Amino acid sequence: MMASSDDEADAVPQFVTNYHFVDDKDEPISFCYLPIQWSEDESPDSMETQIFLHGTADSGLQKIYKQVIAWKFELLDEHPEIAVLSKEKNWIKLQKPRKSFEDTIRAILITLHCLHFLKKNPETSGKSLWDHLRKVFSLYELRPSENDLLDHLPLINDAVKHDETLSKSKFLLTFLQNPMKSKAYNEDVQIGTETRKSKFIVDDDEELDEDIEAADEDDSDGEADLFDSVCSICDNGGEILCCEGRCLRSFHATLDDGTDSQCKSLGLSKAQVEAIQNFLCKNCQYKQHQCFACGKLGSSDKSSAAEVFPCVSATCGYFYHPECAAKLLHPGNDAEAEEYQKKIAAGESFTCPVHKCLVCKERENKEVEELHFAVCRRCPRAYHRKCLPRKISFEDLEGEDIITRAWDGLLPNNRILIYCLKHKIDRTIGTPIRNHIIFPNVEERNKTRAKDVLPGKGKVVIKKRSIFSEDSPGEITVSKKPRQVEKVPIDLKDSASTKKLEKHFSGQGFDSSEKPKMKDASRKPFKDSVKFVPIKMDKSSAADERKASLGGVKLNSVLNKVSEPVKSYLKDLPNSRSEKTKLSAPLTKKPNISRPLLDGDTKKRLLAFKEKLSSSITLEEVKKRHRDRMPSTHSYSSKDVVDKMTQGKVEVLVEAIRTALQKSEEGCNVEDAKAVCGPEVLNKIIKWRNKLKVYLAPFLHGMRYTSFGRHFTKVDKLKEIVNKLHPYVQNGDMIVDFCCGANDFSCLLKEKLEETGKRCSFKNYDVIQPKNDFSFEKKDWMTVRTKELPTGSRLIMGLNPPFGVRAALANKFIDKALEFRPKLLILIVPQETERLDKKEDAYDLVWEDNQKLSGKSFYLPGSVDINDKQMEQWNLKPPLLYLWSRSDWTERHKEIALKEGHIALKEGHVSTEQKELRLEEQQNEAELLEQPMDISPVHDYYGDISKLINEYGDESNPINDLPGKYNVAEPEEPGKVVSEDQKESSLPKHDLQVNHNRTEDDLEVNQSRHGDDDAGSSINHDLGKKRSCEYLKVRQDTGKQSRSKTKTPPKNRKNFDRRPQLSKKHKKTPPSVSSPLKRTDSEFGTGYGGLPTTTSIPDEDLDDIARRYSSSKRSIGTSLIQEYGGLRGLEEQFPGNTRDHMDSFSRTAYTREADTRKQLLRLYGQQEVDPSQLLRLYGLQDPDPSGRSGYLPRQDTGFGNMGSLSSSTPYGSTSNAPSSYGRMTSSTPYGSFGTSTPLVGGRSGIFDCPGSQYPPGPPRPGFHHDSIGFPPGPPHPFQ
Amino acid sequence: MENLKRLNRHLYMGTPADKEYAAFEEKVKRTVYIDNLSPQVTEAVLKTALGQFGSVTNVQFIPNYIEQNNIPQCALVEMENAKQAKSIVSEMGNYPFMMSGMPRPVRARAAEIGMFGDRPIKPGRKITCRWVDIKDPDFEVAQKLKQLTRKHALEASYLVKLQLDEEEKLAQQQSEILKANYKKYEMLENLLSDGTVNRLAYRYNLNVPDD
Repeated sequence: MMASSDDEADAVPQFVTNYHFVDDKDEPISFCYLPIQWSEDESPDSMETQIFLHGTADSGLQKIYKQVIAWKFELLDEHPEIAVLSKEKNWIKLQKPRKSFEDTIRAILITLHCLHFLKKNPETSGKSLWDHLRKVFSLYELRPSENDLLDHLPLINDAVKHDETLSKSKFLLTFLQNPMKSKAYNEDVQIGTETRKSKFIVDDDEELDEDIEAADEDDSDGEADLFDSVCSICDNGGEILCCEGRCLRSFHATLDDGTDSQCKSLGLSKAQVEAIQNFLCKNCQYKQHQCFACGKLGSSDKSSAAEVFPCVSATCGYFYHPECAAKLLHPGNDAEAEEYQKKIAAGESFTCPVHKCLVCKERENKEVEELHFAVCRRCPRAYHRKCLPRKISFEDLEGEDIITRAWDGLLPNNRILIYCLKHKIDRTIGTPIRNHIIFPNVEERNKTRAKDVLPGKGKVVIKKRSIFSEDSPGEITVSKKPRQVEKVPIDLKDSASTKKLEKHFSGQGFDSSEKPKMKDASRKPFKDSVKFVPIKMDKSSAADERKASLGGVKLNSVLNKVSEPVKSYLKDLPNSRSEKTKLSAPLTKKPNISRPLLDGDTKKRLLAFKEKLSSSITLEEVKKRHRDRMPSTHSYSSKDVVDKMTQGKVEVLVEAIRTALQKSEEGCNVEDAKAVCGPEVLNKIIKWRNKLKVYLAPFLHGMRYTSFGRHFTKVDKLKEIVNKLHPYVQNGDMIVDFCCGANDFSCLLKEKLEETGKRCSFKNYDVIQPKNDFSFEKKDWMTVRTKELPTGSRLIMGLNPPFGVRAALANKFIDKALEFRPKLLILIVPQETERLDKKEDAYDLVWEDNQKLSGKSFYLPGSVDINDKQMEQWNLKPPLLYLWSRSDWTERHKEIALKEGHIALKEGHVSTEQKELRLEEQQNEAELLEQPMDISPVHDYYGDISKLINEYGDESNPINDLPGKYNVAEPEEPGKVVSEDQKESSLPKHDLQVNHNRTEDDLEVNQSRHGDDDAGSSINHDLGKKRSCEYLKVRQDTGKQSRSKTKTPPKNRKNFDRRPQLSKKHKKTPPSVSSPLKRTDSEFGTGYGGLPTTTSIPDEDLDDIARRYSSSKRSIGTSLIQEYGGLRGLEEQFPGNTRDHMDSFSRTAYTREADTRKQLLRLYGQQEVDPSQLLRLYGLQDPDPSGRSGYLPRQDTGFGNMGSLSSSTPYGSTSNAPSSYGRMTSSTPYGSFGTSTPLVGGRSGIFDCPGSQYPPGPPRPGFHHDSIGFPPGPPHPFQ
Repeated sequence: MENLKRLNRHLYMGTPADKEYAAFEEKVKRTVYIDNLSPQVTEAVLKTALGQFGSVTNVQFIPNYIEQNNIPQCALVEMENAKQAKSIVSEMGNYPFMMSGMPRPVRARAAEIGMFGDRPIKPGRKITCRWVDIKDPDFEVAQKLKQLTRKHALEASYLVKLQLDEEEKLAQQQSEILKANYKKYEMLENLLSDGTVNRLAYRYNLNVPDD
């Protein structure tokens, strides 16, 4: 079935990429609707609807638009090849579909890949098929499943008929015979494979998470990449339990988990495993570790006489006797070795021999394949891939008597697992004998109550567990039974080889999971059994729809059963008075409703009843239900990832980093430092921190949220938006709100449209029914099909999607909306959102407003502040409001925009303003700012300033013609001064100008960086990269009257102007309190502000800085903020800086700043200036607004102030950060809608980190003594 | 004569008592019973939280006289109409809804007449009391009923106790986990915030994505 050869390759496109198909209505359609051609001589049937192919051919040069009449596929070696027959009878091969089209053809693609895989491996099992498909379609959110195949049953049938190999495939045969039945199997497979943590192939949930979180490309699967995800006993992967201790190891916890490799495992039962909160292996528990070099156990207790010491490297975890380590590190050199030995014994940190290649003594390099490390599992030896001796090979080489000793893909971090030549490999299991792990207490084979003597770490739960685990092998008994197992990394090798596994089960402890249960029945402590199900019980109550309260129906029925025996008992009563008296005895006491008056039997009965109920609810069920019911965007839980971040690992990482830093700063070789802590660890740290932050968000910002953590746009803002949007709406349009929240928008819009005589239809989607259900459909937006809505030319979509972490959710919603190709998209989204002109099907920006939603634009339904008023959210980095038009409608929309004055006409206008602004900047220093420079919604020149700075590098002397123009700028100021609170016409007007500026400029200049720039800013609280603008602010702020120096009187005025506004906003905040806040702004500000605008700074430096700023990533502001908490640390670093910074605005200040900047430049020689460092430095130097002398000592109070600030203005003012990522987060411990998204996403917010002030509110009375309610949890917010 | 009149009124269901009762029943239909509320949840919280789903006309907490003081609360929340009440019940059932940042989601049920402590007397219902003599055959029945009731009360409170114990344990566990996680978080955060990571990154010539 080869494609017919093409006559002229140039005239006729052979391949097309970025393709998609549309029908005659211009709606996307899958090519499977075309008639399929199985062989050359067939001629395709004619079709009713016409289908057209869009795409680009010949490496993107030629755009294709052709009608196609048939399709075919060929299952080539590499991948299935699909081709379509054009009307001109030419076959065009399809390469990559357009991204947005992928979903449409998902099912057919999966089917084809399935067929392809089966053709290649006809014997394969369903499991490996799905594994393969999953890999192939790893980028798809929804995993390939049987359902996709079901869609194309006839195709599969035909394919089987046409292809011999396929017809041999067992899988297909069974599937075709019984498509529905195999579905069940498939689900099992899916669930089963779900629970498997594949080593480096990203777990599917992780994928979703990555999708949602838009995580960075490096090691994508959170944990597994850095630390072992291989069982230390059998060196194989699968479901493992991580030890929280220093050893950093993981184990198969139950025999079940280790079946694939016949792993002894730890021998625990499933119930035991579930009960463990904090697993510590025996070694870590008793602080006795084996020396990795010689294998002997030794005490690792630092507080008493330690015999073995851990290697300090970040991911190592091995312990050594000082002598063993020293000998290996300094072979042959006795004197050195002895000295080193002493050092280690004294507690100095050391890196073990594993970190240097045996052959060439170099470090590993994870980037370069040749330099990947191969580490021996049984002794401290390591080689580079290129240095591996021949005998340690990846395959069996029969002739030379070489057995496989090396495996790729088992160890994380691009490492190779080997057994070096020192270890004899047991042929039967394919690995050396597994007696290398010695847990303490093995000698006492009498299974003592060692567990009862648990050290402090043991929790209540563990103790109880011991009662059950009496007979289950808690210790690893040294067993030498050879098992016939080939060591196979799971999910890695071809499925075929796994078949070679022969399973021999020793009955040892196999039924350990059943034993405890039996014991349950016979023993007294019913209560204990209850402990193992606590989690399940409570979660169930949340998820249980039918059983609304204590068991509901079931309760009644069971109670009935319970009361029956009582009834029958009572019936007997007349006959046996004695019994009656027995019963009534306790009851005839005064009805003091106290408890312990039930006899033992009743209690038992009740307990049993309770047990029965609670065991009927399982965690799996809950998880499943949760997954099914949550909208796709919110069903992910990062619990599993977080579970892998054990305490031990974190500690080790921390220690490693510090050591590495210490080493490198003391002048050691960078290589040495890297051996301790490689570069990948740094990234990992950040990733982990972020993950934890998201995971802990509800507790970090607890009390603020009620409800589903949603943010609704305030009605007045909505009104404004409606006013701005309605001119673009035409009669007969449909306006779709894909996340309507309280559903106010469409009502307002409807009113407005009716006023203007347009009749339109509406459709509102959300997952929760709002109060007002006008045109509402309760549906997950992601599941809405194209067919359900009219064609794009009649569609206007919006408005305020959930933001998600780093705009991930917003992006998803937008992408989904783009599937419908609406002519207009009006959006309220965070600034990080991917801009629509960058998408494949680019839209054009009509206008953009980053000002409208500054200030309190959102409210949190259901969250109240102390005054019991609905909490409002204030965005530090206000979300954008912009209008995008489909390219073919842009002309018309732009006309309308011009007419309405949403955008301005002239080019010249822009540059003038720009120049004016630049001038302003420059003039800061100079005393010519006599004009009433009011605060001016800083935004307008801020954004431009940032551009200016960017341009600094380009222009030598932008300062030239500015002076004259400065005055021109002024008149606009007053208009702009109007705060957001006063929504007067001046604001919109100013908006126009601003918008225009921004739009044009952004489009021209800053397009690429727009996402990064914080072009917008709120009057009061925008931090972002407001560089010089911030600086201005600072000066304004700090430029109080007390400032005698030059400064800028106008700025002072600004200050005053600002104050009242501030106090308006901070409802309860007395103006003075606001200053610390302001100060913080300014602190951040100065960091940037100072630099670019100082005229005293030589030009080159300026350029330098400008360049740096332009290249620095987005949200420097937020990073600053995050570092905020660390300002204290700065104190330590810069003890000497107690200069009085009152005059920082004077020239001297500038020079000082220049000095520090130079200092910085020296420190951070890299291209990218570390903003956080800058911040700190500048933070330190920040002038103290209230005129107190030293800033430093005050620093804490600054924070303290903020702390109190926040407490006095609980939810209202300060806590904006959390806001903009409003809506729902994807990950919380409950994997649910989660309470507080906010901070999470919080990239936009200033007060991002828990260290900073947060809306603690006065600690509520009930809070602390409450044992039942949630514990006060993390510190800062609640202090 | 009077009796006739009364009878007539009954027949036409027009007595004020009837009307009151009917109004009450209607109120019950649009009331939601919410429990598992943290002791910190106040009326205002409930009003705003449930305000998403409709207009809340009244919030009444069901006082807890018997059990200890720090157990979850429950409340009867009256909405504007029955539809809103239904939607609340279903939404709460579908998604975990949390109040005041408490991780335990609240439960919602349709309210029932029996839940209202201040319910009006059902019209036409007459309660008469009489003393029962020991020799009366009904005495034993009454006695048994009395005992049964008490026993049930005991059992119920025992079950509650069990539940509370379990919750306690769970809370304990969870707080342990939380503390542990928070500790880890703090450690990492400190590392980042005091610049160690960045300084090291500088040494390695790495660009560490700060966000």
